[in-house]
Amino acid sequence: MSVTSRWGQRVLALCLIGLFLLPVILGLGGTLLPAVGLTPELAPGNGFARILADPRFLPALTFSVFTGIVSTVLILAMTLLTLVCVHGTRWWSWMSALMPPVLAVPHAALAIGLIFLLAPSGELVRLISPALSGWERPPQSWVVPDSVGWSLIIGLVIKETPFLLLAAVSQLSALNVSASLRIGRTLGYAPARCWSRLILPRLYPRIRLTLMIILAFNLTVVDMAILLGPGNPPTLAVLLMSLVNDPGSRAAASAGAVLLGVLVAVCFFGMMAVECVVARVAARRRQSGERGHGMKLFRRLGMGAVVMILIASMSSLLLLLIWSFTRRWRFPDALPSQWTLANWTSRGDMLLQPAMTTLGIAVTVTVLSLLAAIIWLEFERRAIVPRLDGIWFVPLLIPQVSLLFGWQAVALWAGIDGQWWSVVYTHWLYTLPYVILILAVAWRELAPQWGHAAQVLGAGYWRVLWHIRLPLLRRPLCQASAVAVAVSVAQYLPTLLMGAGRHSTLATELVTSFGGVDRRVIAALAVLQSLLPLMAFVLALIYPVWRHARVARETAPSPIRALDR
Amino acid sequence: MHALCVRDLSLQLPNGKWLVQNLSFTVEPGQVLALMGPSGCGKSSLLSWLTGTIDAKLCASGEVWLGPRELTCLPAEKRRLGLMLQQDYLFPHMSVGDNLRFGLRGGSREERDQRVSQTLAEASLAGMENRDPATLSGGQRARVSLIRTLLSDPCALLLDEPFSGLDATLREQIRQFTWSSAKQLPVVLVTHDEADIPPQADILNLGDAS
Amino acid sequence: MSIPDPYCNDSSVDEHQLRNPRSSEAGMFQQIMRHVQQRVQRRVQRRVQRRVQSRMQSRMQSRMQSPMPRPLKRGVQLSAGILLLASVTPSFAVEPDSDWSEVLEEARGQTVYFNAWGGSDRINGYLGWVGKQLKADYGVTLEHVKVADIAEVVGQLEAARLVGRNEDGNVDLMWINGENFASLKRAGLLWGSFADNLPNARLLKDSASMQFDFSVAVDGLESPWGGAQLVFIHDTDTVPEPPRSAQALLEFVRNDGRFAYPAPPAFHGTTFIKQLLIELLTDSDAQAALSLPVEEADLAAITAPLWAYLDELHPLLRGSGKSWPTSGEMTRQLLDDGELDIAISFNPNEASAAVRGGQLPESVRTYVFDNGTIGNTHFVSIPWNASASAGAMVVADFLISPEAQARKADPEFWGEPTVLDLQRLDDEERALFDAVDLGVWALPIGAGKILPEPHSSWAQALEAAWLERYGQ
Repeated sequence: MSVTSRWGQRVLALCLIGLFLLPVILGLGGTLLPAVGLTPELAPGNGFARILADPRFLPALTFSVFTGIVSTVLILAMTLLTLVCVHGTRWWSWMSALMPPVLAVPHAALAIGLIFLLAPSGELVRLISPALSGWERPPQSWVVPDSVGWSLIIGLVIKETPFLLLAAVSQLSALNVSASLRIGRTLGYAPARCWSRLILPRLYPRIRLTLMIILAFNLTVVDMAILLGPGNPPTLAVLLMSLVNDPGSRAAASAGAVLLGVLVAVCFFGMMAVECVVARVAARRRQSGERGHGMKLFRRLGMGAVVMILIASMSSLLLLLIWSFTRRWRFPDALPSQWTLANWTSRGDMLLQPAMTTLGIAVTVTVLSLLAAIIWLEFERRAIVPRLDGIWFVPLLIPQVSLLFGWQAVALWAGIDGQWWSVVYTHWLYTLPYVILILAVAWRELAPQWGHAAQVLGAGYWRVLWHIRLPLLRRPLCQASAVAVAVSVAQYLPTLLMGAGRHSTLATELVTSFGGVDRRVIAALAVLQSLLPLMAFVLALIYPVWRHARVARETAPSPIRALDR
Repeated sequence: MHALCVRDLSLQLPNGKWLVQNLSFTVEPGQVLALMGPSGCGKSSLLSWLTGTIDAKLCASGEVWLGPRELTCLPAEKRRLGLMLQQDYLFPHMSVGDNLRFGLRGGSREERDQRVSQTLAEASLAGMENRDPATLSGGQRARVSLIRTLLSDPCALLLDEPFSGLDATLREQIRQFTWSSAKQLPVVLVTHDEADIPPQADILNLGDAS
Repeated sequence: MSIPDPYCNDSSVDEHQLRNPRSSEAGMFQQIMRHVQQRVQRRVQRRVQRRVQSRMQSRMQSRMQSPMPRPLKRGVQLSAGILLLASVTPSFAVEPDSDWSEVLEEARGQTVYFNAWGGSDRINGYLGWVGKQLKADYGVTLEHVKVADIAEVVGQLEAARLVGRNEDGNVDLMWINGENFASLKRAGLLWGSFADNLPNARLLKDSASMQFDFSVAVDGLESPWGGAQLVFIHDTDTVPEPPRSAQALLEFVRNDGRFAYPAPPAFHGTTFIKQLLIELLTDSDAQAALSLPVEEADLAAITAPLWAYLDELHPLLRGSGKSWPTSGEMTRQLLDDGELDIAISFNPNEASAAVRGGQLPESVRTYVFDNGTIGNTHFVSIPWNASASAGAMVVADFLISPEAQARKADPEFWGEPTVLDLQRLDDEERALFDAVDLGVWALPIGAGKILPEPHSSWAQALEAAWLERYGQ
């Protein structure tokens, strides 16, 4: 490799990382400067004084902290419980097959499905009314969304537990679980004790980063909080969202976004402090030599938890599907009394246009993310750039609100808001981390000998890349594409803030029109929004198999192939 | 056919340890040079250096010539050195025929197809073009791998313990097949097993060389 | 209202000349050339004028306020622009009082971004139809930018003014009224007096609410689009006799009636509070104060009975005054679910549309309070920096055409009362309206007295006070 082309590649790599970090840096700056009153043309006034004086600030903050922390703790508990109780049982494979599709369901669609399920007039009550409950009319003892935040917590737990669970499962292979369990049990420890003393202490550091991403997300989520959180007061992120578009309050919103960022940082430190304490206690208890008892009840509990999560998300999806074909469905009927296709056919425009926008953005973003990830990982493989895994997590650890308020201000000021490309760019920022992190594992595992074998047969760099390296990585590439589509389809805030309302995707359409638009059409929208990533996941499963089936054409050449020649 | 010639080769590990120092040798066409030595003595690294696929962390100096052509600065794909490894590295996403065609240089589509089926037939693998490599037996795979290397028309053959993954009966069969196929090429063979080495071969013990 | 005849101005000269068989060919040619020349000259003049103005404005602003050194700012702007392929600035030519034919000509091929509340699928569907018609008849592409609350757009425009984006704005047309109109007018963010220039403006009703939007003079800055009134919907199967006054409503929830209203600043919630305020004020002086700016009134004293009432009402609501419906439409869905007994709407015909669409049972009826309820007119307007003002004018004109208004009045599609004076339509046009069947579920025509809106400044003051009391 000549020196100049190496330099050229370094510059290209630098551009790539610059392109990735530019919105982060400008975004943080664009949030911070108005907050401290340094951009009077954009946001006059002292933001911190204003937001602290807002009577809604403190309640909203408490509310964010409550829902964020409780849901994160529950998610961690659910994940560990599931691992301990279900791993190694016959349910395990069944469950791991169901997890990715559940993960693919976008937040907004899931939230709406949950409302249809849990409301006093929702499907759960309809199923037992009036025969079992005696309710002729919906009960008045609760409402969804409730005023304390339990609806939001339930939604977050259902949405995020599969995420953490998958992250943990991908790490288990490196931990050699079955050997640890065997050793532990031959030493006389109950299985649960083996997990808590032998495996979890090693597993936790490997999922810590994912847990931090989840914590940051739970503290600052906007779309789910708009749908499932109470409106009065809303969570802090939602409150800030309602302030940001008013130039009179932009300073306050920016200051609030900075404070939200600080809150997330404080919670990270809190998490580490708790970690230290737990680690110390656990280390002491490990020395006690207690073997523990069986775990029948415990295992049932864990099974119950995971089954509940799966049932809740699956039935939410099913409910969306039912509502989208409903004409008339009154309380307390368990199923619609009149069905119709009209929600799909007569509102074609309303469904098609955002679906096409969503698909267009998702496909572009996926292609761009794959391209960027492949370029970067190839550079990394050839030691042109160092491994920089930490950098890709940055956008996921900063609250979306804190980053995007500023990035929107910069876009507004540069006159690039409302453009399709700026929406795609911002989606790319949030998609690339997942794509790179998924591909990096596969890329590093692929033996270099495959490339060498092709090279000594006379294939140059590009031929090796195109005919050997990429096809060998077809499966992870497909998975990464599916994840990229799922991430892009679910993006609400980037689309809303950067699109200036001009590029309505299924996500923005769902959140802005929920409550106003006909519930049956909302259901159809939500079904579409879930369908796109689900289809991507199905394709990602099928495509590599199909491609391989073409290789394995067996001994007799097929007639088509013969004609082909 | 030209001789493969190595001059003043030195290989150094990142920790400063020398694997090979100032090694020179020439392998004439039709000659087999067997490299022997304890594991970790640098046999495989030497082959990687010859093919131009050596790990960037290793420090290497020296020259490699193929007759009048200097290969030292050429990228791997331009050196025309055939390489066989212990594992066969048949590309799993390609059929047997596609694997063979991947290495084949030039020719029209019909010629290429014909050359592939002819070579397969010579190796008693006739009609296997469309098989998934995963469905082949160990011996078949080894033969396909060798054919693939030979079809790429190499000017020298480098073998890195190519027989060690095979069971005893197959091993003898593949050895025969290899030596009869290699014919007029200079061959460098890395092995642990003295039985692999054909009678007329020269032996270079790397442990001694350093 | 003075309505200029759009067909009687100088742009029709060329058509007239072209049609006149007696004018010599040479004469005709000269006439046309002269006309074209004039038009081009005028256009160029205007364009230059505007460019210079806006450039000077932005330059002054940036000089006075820019926190960043100019070269740096320009560099960042430039690179950001290159980065994301910023679009080219389109040209401005049409003025609010331009000849209509000139407007039509310029509008052809334009894309109009119409920022309108997107919370109702029927309205969205209606606007979809409007888009198709406009594309076919005028070559104008209509993009409905769905917003949750039009106040956001007001904020966007204010932000655009602050950063000096005086042309090529994101918004071409917006659906507004009341306090949003008042604040835009006050800030000078509206384009100009275009409404009376629309050919269909001569068909409008002579109504006070079209001259004064929440007591603020309209001055042709916005063009009427529809009329509305606060109404309530109840299910006769569960509530045969609904409460017909604020006091009766309180009595109703005390007796376990199921009620909730959308939390302000949601539009239906704010209107409901204003309704309660009007109804709870017995003093005629206090009532008079509502038509004046809120700054001139003793807010605390006037609103005291309202807060007393709400303090009592809230614990009895669905959600106990802590969890609220987000919109009027949501109360209607909750009525259908049985979670509420009474829904709030701002459209007297909404129940009809909902029953026909399978969203409400046939047993529902619409009613208003005995003393009447608040009604108003809503408008469309063009911001000062619109990119496609000609197209926006064409859209605004089409929205008040008999064809569009009749479809809008039909509960099948939207079902909102028209702003046109049916007496001014010809028979064929009137027949379009006669064909509309409102059904028994809608508010019977003439059933409810319409109360005027308080001055636009009250909405914000009431919302703020409400949020301070109940928003924590």
